Amino acid sequence: MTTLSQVNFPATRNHLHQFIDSVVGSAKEQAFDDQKIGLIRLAVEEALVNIFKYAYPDAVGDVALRCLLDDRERFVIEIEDSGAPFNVLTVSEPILAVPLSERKIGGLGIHLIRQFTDEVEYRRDGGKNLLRLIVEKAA
Amino acid sequence: MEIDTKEKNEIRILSVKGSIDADTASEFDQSLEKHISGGRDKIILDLSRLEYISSAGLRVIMKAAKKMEITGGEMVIVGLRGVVQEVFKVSGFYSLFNIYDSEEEAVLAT
Repeated sequence: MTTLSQVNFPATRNHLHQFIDSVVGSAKEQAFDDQKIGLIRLAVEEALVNIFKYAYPDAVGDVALRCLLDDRERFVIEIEDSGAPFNVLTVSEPILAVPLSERKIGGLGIHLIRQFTDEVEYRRDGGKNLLRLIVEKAA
Repeated sequence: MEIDTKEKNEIRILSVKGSIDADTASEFDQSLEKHISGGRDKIILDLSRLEYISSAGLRVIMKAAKKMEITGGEMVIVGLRGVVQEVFKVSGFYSLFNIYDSEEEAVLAT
């Protein structure tokens, strides 16, 4: 396992770009193409925005974001917060095949995380949410 | 993110450049709101210069489209490519909107 980058910022939207810059920088170093980097950026933004909205309802807390290569050379983004327990994997898929008037306005973020990563893992440990977004490198 | 506005055949054409993410989505929302509440019932959203959109941006587009549908208006989309196209596809937005490759096609059809 190789750690590529690690950052820590408050869980507020005005720090979004700092988190994203770190991930995009690490993804570029791993020679992902622009399209893939855009989709990775998206998955990370969606995960972070959920944390910004729901993790710390009463106060501001931090988010730690780490990029690494695991033992199988997969690009892994680990996002850790000490907020309220929230398992993104338990959120159900939005219903897409309905007309505009019936489409719900929210619910797409988590769908996009699932679509644009190869695996998503969640663990609650020691008062922290640990989310892992895993992206395989192209063959 | 920049939004350029022009008009053709009484259709308002909004051309969005850059990225629509959780940070810039509210600016995009305000701009769309302004055009819709100003009585625009035909809008072309030109996304050919848009590099990136997240669910925050999709939410704004869906909200605007729902409003226009209620008042009998229409919003069509032009120029999907790259990440933006992929996001529209997996979000089921291709079945919600008329999508064209060029402004010319969209103007003729609207």
